[in-house]
Amino acid sequence: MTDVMIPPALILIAGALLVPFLNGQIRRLYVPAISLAALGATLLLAPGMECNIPALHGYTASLLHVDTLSLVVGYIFAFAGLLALIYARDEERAGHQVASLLQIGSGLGIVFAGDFFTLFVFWELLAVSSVLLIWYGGTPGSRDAGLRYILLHIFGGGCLLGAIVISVAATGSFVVGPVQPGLSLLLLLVAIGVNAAFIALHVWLPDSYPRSTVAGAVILCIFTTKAAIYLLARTSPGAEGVAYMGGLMVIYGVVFALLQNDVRKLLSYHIVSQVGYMVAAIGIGTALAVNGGIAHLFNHILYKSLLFMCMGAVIAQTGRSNLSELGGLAKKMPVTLVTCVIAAAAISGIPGFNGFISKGMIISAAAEAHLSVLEIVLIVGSVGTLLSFAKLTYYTFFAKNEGIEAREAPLPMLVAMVIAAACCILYGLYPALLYAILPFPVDYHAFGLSHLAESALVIIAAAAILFLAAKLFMPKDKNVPEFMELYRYCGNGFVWFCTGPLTWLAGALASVQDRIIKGLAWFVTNPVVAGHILVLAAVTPLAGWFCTKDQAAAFTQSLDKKMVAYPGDHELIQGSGYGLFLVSLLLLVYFLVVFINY
Amino acid sequence: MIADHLPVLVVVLPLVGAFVTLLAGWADRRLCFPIAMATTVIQFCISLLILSQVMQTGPLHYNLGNWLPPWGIEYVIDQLNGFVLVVILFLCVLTCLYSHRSTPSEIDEKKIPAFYTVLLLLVTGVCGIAVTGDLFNLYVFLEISSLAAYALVALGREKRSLVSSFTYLVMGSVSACFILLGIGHLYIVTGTLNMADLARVLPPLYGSTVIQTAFIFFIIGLSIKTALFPLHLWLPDAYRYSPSAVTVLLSTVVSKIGVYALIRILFTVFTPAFIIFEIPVMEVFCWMAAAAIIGGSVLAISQTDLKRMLAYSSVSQMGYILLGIGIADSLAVTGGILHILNHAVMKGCLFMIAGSFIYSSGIRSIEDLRGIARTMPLTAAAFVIAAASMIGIPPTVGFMSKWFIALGALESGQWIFVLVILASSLLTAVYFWKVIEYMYFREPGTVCAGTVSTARDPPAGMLVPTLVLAAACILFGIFVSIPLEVIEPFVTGILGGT
Repeated sequence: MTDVMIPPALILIAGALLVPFLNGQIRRLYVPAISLAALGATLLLAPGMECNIPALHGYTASLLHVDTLSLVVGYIFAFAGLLALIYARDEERAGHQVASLLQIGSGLGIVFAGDFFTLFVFWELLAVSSVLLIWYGGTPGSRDAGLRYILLHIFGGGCLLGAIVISVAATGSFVVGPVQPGLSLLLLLVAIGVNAAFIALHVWLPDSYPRSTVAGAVILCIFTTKAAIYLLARTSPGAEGVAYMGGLMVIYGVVFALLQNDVRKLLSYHIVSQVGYMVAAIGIGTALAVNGGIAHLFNHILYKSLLFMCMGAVIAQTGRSNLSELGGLAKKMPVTLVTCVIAAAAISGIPGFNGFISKGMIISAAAEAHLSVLEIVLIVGSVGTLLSFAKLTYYTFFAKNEGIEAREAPLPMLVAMVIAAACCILYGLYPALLYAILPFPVDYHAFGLSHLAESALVIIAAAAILFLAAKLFMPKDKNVPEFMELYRYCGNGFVWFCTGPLTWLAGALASVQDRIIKGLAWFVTNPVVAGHILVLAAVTPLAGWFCTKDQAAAFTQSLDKKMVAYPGDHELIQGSGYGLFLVSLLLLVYFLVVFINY
Repeated sequence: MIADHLPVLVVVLPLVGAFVTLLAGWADRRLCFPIAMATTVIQFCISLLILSQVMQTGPLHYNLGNWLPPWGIEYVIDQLNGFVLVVILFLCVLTCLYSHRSTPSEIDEKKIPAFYTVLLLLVTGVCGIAVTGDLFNLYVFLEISSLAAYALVALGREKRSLVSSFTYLVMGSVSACFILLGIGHLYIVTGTLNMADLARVLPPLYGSTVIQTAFIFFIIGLSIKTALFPLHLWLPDAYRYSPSAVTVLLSTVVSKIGVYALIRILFTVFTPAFIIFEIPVMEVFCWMAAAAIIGGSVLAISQTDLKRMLAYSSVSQMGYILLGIGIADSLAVTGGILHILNHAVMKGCLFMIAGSFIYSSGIRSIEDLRGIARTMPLTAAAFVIAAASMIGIPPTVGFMSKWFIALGALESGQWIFVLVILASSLLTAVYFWKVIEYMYFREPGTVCAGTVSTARDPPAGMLVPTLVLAAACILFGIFVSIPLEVIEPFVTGILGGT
C-alpha cells in the first residue's frame, strides 16, 4: 500500500512557525495540541506508506518512507515529545516553544526520511533547534556550551554530508540505507558518532544538557542520540567495532556518572552509558540484538525523559542542582520521589520495569553472538547504573538536609511524570505490547530464570558494594576532569596559533599584498603616463653612462616633473599620428608572423 | 510578392526614409522623428520576418536587379546575418525612440533634420553590410555607415566633438583603405567579388602571398573598425564627445557590424581551414583580443568620466567577442556571436543611462554621481542590472557568453584565455562597483549637491528604452536558448558541430 499521507514532521514544523503569532493563553494549549496532532498522524501511518515531493532535476524529496523500524521509533518520538511538551507547559517563551516543536519535528523527520538529503536537512535542523534550547538556559555557561555544541555538530553534519555525497556519487541512489564501504562509511560513522556520543565525540552531551532549561533538557535527551541510533540501525547494523564502542560507552558513562555531583550531569553521563547499550546492540546486529537495541531505545526514552523530568522538577522547586546541596525532599515532593524511584528501577534493569526487558534482550544477544567480554561489560554496566541511581535517589530525597524549602511540582509536570512512570511499569509488565511493534519478530522470554538470576546478581553485587564502600559515593564538590577539557586545551592552542604566528604571517603577507595593490592602483590611475614614468625610471640610471652630465640631469628632471604631475590630464586626446604608428607596427607584426617562414 | 523582396527592402527603406526625412525637415522639424521612428520599426519587423524565413527555409538569396551572381550583386541572408540584422535593428528602434528626448538638448535645434537623416543613412549602411553577399558592396556600405557615423559624432556641441570626429575619420579612412586594399588583392588574383564565389575559388590559392597579404589587410582594417586594442585610440573620444543617442548607436550598432564583417570575411570568404591551419595569424589575433580585454579594463578603471569609462569598457568587451571568434572553437564562436547580442544590449543600456544622467543633471563625472540613486532610482537600478551583466553575474546575459567563450577556450586547451576572462571579470567588477558605490553609498558632494537633489528619472521616452534593455539583460540570460537556436546552426555550418 502506498498511500499519500501528511508527514508528521511537517505538521510540527509548520505548527512551530505559527507559534510567534499566538498570544500566551492560546499558545499554552496550541503547542501540546500540535504535538498531539503529530502523534495522531504518526499513529495513522502504516508500513509501506510514502510521501514524495518532486524537487530539482529529477531528485525527489521523500518526506515519508514508513517501515517497521521507522514506525516504532516514530511512535516513541511523537509520544515522548507530547509528554515533554505537557511537562513544559509553564515554559511560555515563544522561542523555546518553537525550538521544542522544531526539535520534535526534525526528530520525526529524520525517522521517516526516505532519502539521504531530506534526512540531512532534518539532521541539521535538529542540531540548530538543540542549540536554541541550550541557549535558553540563559547562563554564560549555557551560551558557551551551545557554541561548543554547534561546533561539534557542524563537524558531524559535515561528515554526514560528505558520506552522503560520496555514497550517492558512487551508487546514484539517495535511498537511506547501507552506504558505500570505505571513506563514505567512515564519515557516516563519525557523523553518527557525534550525535550518538561515541566516546571522544561525546563531550558535547554532559557539557550542554545540564546547562539547558529544565524543560529543554527533557526534550533534548529524547532526540539527538536516539536519532543517531536509528540511523545506525538503518545504515550499518552488525559492525563488531561499533559493538565494542558501545561497551566502552557503557562503562565510561557509568564511571563518570558515579563521579558527578550535578544531578543533570549525572543523568547526561547515563545517556552516554545507556546509548552505549543500544550501540552495542546494533553493533552485534542479529535480529534479537537489533530488536533489543530498538526496544531499549523505546524504553530508554521513557525512563530517561522521566528522570530528567524528576530532576528538572527538583531543580525548578529548590533552585539547586548539586547532590551535595540537596536532600530531604522525600516528604516534600512525594510524587516526584515515587516516579523517580520507578525511573531509577527501570534504568537499572529491576525486573518488572521496562529497562529490564530490553537490557536483557541485549545481554542475551551478546551471549548468543559469543561476545562474552561484551556481555560481561554490559552486566558490570548494570551494576554501576544501579549504584549511581541509588546514590542519586538517596542524596536527593533521603539525605539529611533541613535547610531546603520546597513544594511538590506543579500539576502539568506531575501529569507528564505520572504518565511516563505508568508507561515504564506497563511495558515492564507486559512486554508483548512492545514486541508487537519491533522491527523483527520476537522470540524472547523476558522473565526466564537466567534473566532473573542475572538481575538478582546485579542487585546483590550493587548492594554489596554499597554496604562495603558507601563512603566512596558521597557527593563531592570538586570538579571531575572531563574530556571536554582536552578539546578546550587543543582549541586554545589553536586559537593561540591563529592569533600569534598565523596573524604575524598574515600581516606580513598583507603588507606585501598592500604594496602590490598600491602599486597597481598607482599604475591604473593613468596607465599611459605611468608607463612613461616606468620607462624613464628604468632608463635614467643608464643615462649616466652614455650621456653628458647635463643631459643626464635633464633626464632626471623630466622624470621628477612627470612624477610630481602624476596622474596628470585624464582627458588627453591621443593624436591620430600615434594611431597610425600603431597601425604600422601591427601590420609589421602580422607580416613578420606570416612571412617569417618564407 | 513583397515577401520575395524583403532583403532589398531592408536597405532601400531607410535610404528612402533618409531623403523623406530631409525633405520633411524643411517643412517641419517635428516630422523628422516620426518618419525615422516608423522607418526603423518597419525595418525591425522586416528583419524579424527575414529571420523567421531563414530559420524555416534556410539561407535567402536575392539577386539585385536580377543579375545573376557572381556578376551581379547578390544579397545572402543566413542565420548569422539574420541574427545580426535583428539585433542591430532592435537597438536602432530603441535608440531612435531614445533620441527623441535626449538629442534636442545636446545638438542645435536646426540640426535635428540632419541628425535623423544621417541616422537613417547610418542604418542604411549597417543594414547593407548585414545583407550583402558581395565583398565590394560590403565596402561601399561600410563607407556609407562610417561617413554617417563621423557626421553624427561631429554633431555634438562641444569643440572636441569636431576633433574627435576628425580623429575617427582619419582612423576610419585608414581602416577603409586597408579593407579596400584587401578586396583589391583578392580581385586581382581571383577576378571575383562574390563571397560565395570567392570561397569556392580561394582554397587552391591559399599558399599565395597575395592572398595572405590580403588577409592581413582585412584583419588590420577590421581591427581598426572594431577598435581592437591597441587600435582603439579613436574610440574613447568619439564615444565621449558625441550626443548620447549617437554614442548608443556607435557602441551597439556600428561596432557590432564591424564584428559581423570580420566574422563574414574570416569564416565565409576565407575558411576556418585557412585561418587556423594555413597561417598563424589567428594566434596573434587572439593575443591582441586578450590584451584588449585586460587593457580595456585597466584603462576603464583609470577613467573619471562615466562615458569614457564605458567606452574603454567597450574596448574590453569587444575583446571578448573577438577572442571568441579568434579561438575559432565552435563553443567559443557561439559565445562570441552571442556576445554581439549581449554586449549590444548591456552597453546600449549603460550608454542610455549615462545619457540620462547628462540629460537630468548634467553630470558626466563618476565622482559627481554621489547619492544619485536616491533621486534617479529607476535609472540607477537599470545601471546595476546592466553592470552585473557586464561583470558576468548569472543569470544575466553577460555570464552566458563569457561562459561559452571560457568553455571554448578550455576545449581548445588555451586555458590562459580562461584566466584572462576571469581576471577581466574582476577588473570589470572594480570599475563598475566604483560607480555603484558612488550612486548608492555616498552622500551627495557639496559641489553637485544641488544638481543631484533636483535630478529626476528621465522622461518616459528615454526611460522606457533603458528599462527594456535592462530587462533584456536578464531575460536573454534566462532564455538564452532563444538566441542560441539561431546561432548554433550557423556555427555548426562553418565549424562542423559542437
